[in-house]
Amino acid sequence: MIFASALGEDLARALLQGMPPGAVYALIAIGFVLAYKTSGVFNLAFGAQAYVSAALYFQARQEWDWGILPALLVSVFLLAPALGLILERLIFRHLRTSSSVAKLVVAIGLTVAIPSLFDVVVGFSPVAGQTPTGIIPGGANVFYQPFGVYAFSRDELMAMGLAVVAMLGLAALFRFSAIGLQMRAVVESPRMTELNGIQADRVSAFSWALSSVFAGLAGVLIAPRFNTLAAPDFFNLVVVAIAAAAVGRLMSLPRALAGGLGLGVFIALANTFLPAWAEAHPILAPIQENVAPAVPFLVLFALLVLWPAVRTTKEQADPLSGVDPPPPSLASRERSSGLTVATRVFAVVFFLTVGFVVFTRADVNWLFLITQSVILSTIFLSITVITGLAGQISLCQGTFAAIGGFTVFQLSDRYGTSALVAALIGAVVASACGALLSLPIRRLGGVWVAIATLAFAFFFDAVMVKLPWVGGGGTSLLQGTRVPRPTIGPWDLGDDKAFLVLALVVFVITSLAVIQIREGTIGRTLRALRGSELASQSIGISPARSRVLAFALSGFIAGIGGAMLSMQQENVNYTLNFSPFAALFWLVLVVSLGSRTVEGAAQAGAAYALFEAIVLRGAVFGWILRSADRIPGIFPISPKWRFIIFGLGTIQFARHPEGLVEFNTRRAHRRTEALLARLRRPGAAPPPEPDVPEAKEVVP
Amino acid sequence: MLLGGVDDTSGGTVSLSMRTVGVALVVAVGLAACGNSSNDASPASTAAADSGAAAQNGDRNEFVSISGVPGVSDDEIAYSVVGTKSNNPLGTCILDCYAAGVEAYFAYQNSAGGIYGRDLVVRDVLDDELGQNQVRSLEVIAAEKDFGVFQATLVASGWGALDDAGVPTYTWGINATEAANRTHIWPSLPVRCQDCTTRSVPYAAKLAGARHAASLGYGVSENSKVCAQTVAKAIEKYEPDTGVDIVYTNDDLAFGLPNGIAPEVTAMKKAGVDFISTCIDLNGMKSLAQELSRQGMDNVVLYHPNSYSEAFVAEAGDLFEGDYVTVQFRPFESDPGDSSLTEFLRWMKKQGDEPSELAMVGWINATQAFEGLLAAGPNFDRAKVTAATNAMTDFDAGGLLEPVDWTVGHVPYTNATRSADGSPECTLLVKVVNGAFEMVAPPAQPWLCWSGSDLTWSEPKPSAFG
Repeated sequence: MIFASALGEDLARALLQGMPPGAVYALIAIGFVLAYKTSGVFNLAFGAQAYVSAALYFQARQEWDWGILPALLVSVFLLAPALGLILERLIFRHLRTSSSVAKLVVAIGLTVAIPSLFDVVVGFSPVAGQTPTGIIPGGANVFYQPFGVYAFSRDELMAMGLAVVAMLGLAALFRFSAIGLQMRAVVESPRMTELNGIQADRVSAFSWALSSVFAGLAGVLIAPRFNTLAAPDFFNLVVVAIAAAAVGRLMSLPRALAGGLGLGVFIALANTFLPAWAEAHPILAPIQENVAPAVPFLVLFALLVLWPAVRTTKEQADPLSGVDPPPPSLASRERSSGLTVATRVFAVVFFLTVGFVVFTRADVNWLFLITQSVILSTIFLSITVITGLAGQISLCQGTFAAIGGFTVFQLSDRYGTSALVAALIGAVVASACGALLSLPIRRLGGVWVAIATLAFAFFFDAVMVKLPWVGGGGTSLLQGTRVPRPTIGPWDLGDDKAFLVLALVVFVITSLAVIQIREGTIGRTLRALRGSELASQSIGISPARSRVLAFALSGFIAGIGGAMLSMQQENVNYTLNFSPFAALFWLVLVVSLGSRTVEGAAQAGAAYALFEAIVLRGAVFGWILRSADRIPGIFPISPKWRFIIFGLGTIQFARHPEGLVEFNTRRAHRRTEALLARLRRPGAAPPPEPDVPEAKEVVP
Repeated sequence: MLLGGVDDTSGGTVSLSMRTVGVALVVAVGLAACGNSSNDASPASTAAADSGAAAQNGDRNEFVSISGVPGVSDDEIAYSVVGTKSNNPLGTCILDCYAAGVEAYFAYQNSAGGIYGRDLVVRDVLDDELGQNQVRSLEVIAAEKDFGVFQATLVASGWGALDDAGVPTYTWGINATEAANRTHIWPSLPVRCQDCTTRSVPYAAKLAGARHAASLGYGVSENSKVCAQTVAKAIEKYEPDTGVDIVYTNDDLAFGLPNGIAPEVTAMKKAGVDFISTCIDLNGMKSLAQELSRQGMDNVVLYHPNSYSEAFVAEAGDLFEGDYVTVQFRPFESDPGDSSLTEFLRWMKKQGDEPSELAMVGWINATQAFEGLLAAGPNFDRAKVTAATNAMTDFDAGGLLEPVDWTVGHVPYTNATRSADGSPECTLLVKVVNGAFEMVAPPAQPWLCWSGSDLTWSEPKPSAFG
C-alpha cells in the first residue's frame, strides 16, 4: 500500500511537473499549427518571431523601465503583427502557389536573419543574471499548490491557462467564424476565394498578423523559462514543438495542445522514473542516459516514420503538390560557343591569377580562410546532390560532416591511422549513415524529409556526440578532439599551402564526380523523381532506391568534407562547425546562391568563409586603398549582417530556385550575347528576352 | 563578473550558442572541482616576487635595441587582446572587462617606467564573436605586430595555431583541454587534472553541516559528465571523515535546463539532499535555486563553481543565501596584505573601470607576461620569454594565485596517473551572506590548503601566498 501510495504520488507529481514545459510546447505547437493552417507555410521562423517579441519585451521592461502593459502592447500587439504583415506583404504573398519546399527554405532563411536583424537594430544582447520576467507581477516567485503535490508559479499558470484559452479561441475562430473559413480558403486557393468576392490579400494579411501575434505572445510567455534570451533556444523549442504539432497532423489545434502537454509529461515521467529504474536495473542505464535527452526528437522522428497520417495531410491533397516544373537548363548550356570559350578562358586566367596571388602573397590568415572556403565548398556539394539534384531538403548535412570529422579523430587517436585513410573511412561511414537514414524516411516527401533530417541532427547532437566512441573518450578529456594533419610520403600537409593543394584536389575531384552524377543516369533519375514521383515510378524508377543513393552520395561528400575541415583546423570543433543550427546556415547559403551547380557551392563556400573578412571587416577597402590602416572607421561591421544578408537572400529562392549565381550568370550571358550581337551587326535589334524561368502563380 | 562563465555554438556561426558555452563551462567547472597544478613549496614559503619590484635577470630599465621581433619597437612592446563579446549567450562581460584588467596592469607598470625602456601597450582588442577565435588568432599571427596575445574566449579554437607559431599567449583559465600540452599557452589557472578527487567540495559540504549531498552536471560533453562524477567520487571517498554521503548524482542534465529541473529536485528531496555541488553555469544555478525554492528546499546549500559575481548574486535576491562559491584568485573580500590586490583595485579605479572577475584575470595574465619579460632579460624575444616563463616554478601573480610550477604546468594527467608529489591542494571559498560574499578562511589567509603528499582527510590549513 505504501509502495502504491508512493508510486501514485510520484506519478501525480510527474504529471504536474510536466505541465509547465508541456504548456510551453503546446503554445508553440498551437502557434505553429495556426501559421500552417492560415498560411500554408511550414514556418520554422516561428521561433524567430517569438524571440523578437520576447527580446523587445525584455528590453523594454528591464532596460527601458517600461511598465508591463506598454511593453506588452508594443512587443506583442504592435511589433509582432507588424512583422507578420511585412513578411506576408513582402515575401509570402508572392509564394502562395510556390512549393512547400520553397516556402520552407524561405522560412529557414528568415530563422537565421530575423533575430540577427533585431539584435542589430535594437542593440539587444543578453545580460547575465537578468532573467526575463513574465506578464504578471511576481510571476516567477509566487507559487500556488492547487493539488498539494507540486507548486506552480504564476507565470506557469498563466502559460497553461493561455494555452487552453488560445486553443479554444482559435478552434472557435476556425469552426464558427466566417473569417476562419476564409483564412483556410485563401490557403487552398486564393483565386477561387476571390471569385467569391473575398479579398484574399486582406485575409492573408490578417492570418499572418494573427499568427504573428500568437508567436509574440508565446515568446513573451515562455521567455521566463530561460535565464538568458538567445535565439537558438527558441529555434530548439520550435523543433520540439513540431513533434507536438505533428500529433495533430499540423491541422488540429486540440491535438497540438494535447501533444505539447503530453510531451512535457512524458519527459517528466521519464526523468522521474528512469533514474530509479536504471539504478535497480543497470540494463536500463544507457536508455536513461542517452534516450531521455532525445525524447522530443525521437518522438518526432517516430511520428514521421511510423504514422502515415502525418505525411498525408494538406500537402498531398493538392494534386500538383508532388509535381515540380522541370528545372531550367543550366545557363552554361544556353550560351553560344563563342561565349563558352571566352568564359572558360576568363575562368582559367582568373583562377591562375588568384592562385598565384594566394600561393605567393597570402599570409596564414588568408590561407586559412581560403582553404576553409574550398573545404566548405566540398561539403556544400553534398547539398548540391541532395537538394539541387534530388530535390530533398536535408537539414543534417552538418551531422554527416561531423561523422567524417569524428572518424578521423577516433581512428587517428586510437589506432594511429593515417588521417587521409581515416578521412576516407569517415566518408564511407557517413555515407552508410545517410543510406540508413534514408530508409525509414524514403516514403516522406517535401518538408517532412527536412523535418525528419532535422530530428536526426538534433538526436546526434543530444546523444551521439557525447558518447566516448564518437566525440568523447580519454583523449578528449585531456586535450579535446584534436586531429592531426596527414602526410603523404615526403609531402607534409602540416604546411598550410600543401594542405590547400590537397583541399583543391579533393574539391576538384568531388566537383567532377558531382557533374558526372548530374549528367549521368543517376542525375537524370533524380531529376525525373523531382519532377513527378508517380510518373517516374510508371517508367520503372524506384524512388526508394534513388533516395537511398542520393543520401549515400551526399553523406559521402559531406563526410569527406567534414574530415578535411577537421584536419585543417586540427580539431573537430563540433559545436563550431557542425551543430544543427550551424548547418542550417549552410543550407541557406547554398540554396540562395545556387544548389544545382558546382559554381553555386563554390560561391557559397567562399561566402561563408570570406564574406566577413572581405566585406564586413573592410579588407576590400584595405586592398583598394593599399593599406589596412586606411580602412574606414565604420569597419568592422557587425558579423550578424552575414546572417541577415544571406538569410534574406533565400527569399529569392522561390523566384529563382536555380539560385542567385545561376540567375545572374544567365542574365550576364544574355546581356553579353546582346552586346556581341550589336557589335557584330550594328543596328540590329537586340535578341528577345528569353523565357527566364521564374515561379509564377498557377491559376487553378 | 562571472569567472567560469560559459558556452555553442554561433560569430562564426549563429549556432554556437549555449552548447559551445557548455563545453567551456565544463572546463571552468573543472577548476573548481579538481584543483590546479602547483609547486612543491609549502604555501608560506612561496616566493613573493613583486611584479613591479625588480627584474630577476637584470635591470628592468636597461634598454637594448632589438630588431626583427614582432611587436617590439624602441618605444613599445605591443600585445593584442582577443576575446568573446558578440554572441556571448551568457550575457557576461568578458572581453571588455578582461581588456580593462590588462590595460590597468600595463598602466601600472608603465607608470613605473615600463620595461626595458619600453611601454607595454594593447595594440588591438579583437572580438572573436564566439566562433571566430581561430580566425582572430591567425590575424594576430599574420599581422606580426604583436609580441604576444591575451585571450579571454569561450571557444579556444585558435590556441593551437598560436602555439604552433610560438606566440606567447596568456589566457583566461577555462578551456583546459585546449591549453593542454601547449607550451606557449599560459592560462590564468592551469587545470591539469579534471578527474582528480580533491577535498574542497567535501570540505564545503562538511562546513555547511550537510549529511546528504548531490552532484549535478550537464550531459553536454564527456568533460561535463566527468566533473559531476569526480565530485561524487570525492564526496564518497571522504565520507567516513566528513560524515557527508553522496545520495544523488545526475551528470546528464540538458544544457540550459530547457525542461526545467523539477523531477530531479524532487528526486533529491526524496533522497534527503541538503547540499548540492554543481558543474553548471551561473544561469543554470539560478534555475536550480528557483526550483529548490518552489519545492520548499530553500535551506539546501549550493556549491557554486561559476557564480563569483556580486551583481549576479544580488540580482537573485535571497536565492543563494548561505551558499558557497569558489573563487579562482585571491578574493576581493580578502585582506590584500602585501599582495597585488591593492594595486589591482587602485589601478582599476584610476583607469575608471570596475573591478571584476574577468578584469582580475586580465591583470593576472598581464602579470605573467610582464614577469616573463623580466625573466627573459633585456635582449628578449618570443623564444626567450617562452623559455623563461616555462622555467618559473612559483608564479603567483604577486600573491593573487596559488603558485604555479610552469616546468610541469602544461602537462595534464588523470586521477589514475596522479602522483603524490607534495604539491599542496588548495581552494578559495566565499560564502553568500546577506547578498554579499564573505570569506570562509581568515581574510589574511584566504586559501584553505591540504597536504599534497598525504591525500587522506585532514582539516585544511589557512594559507596565503605572495
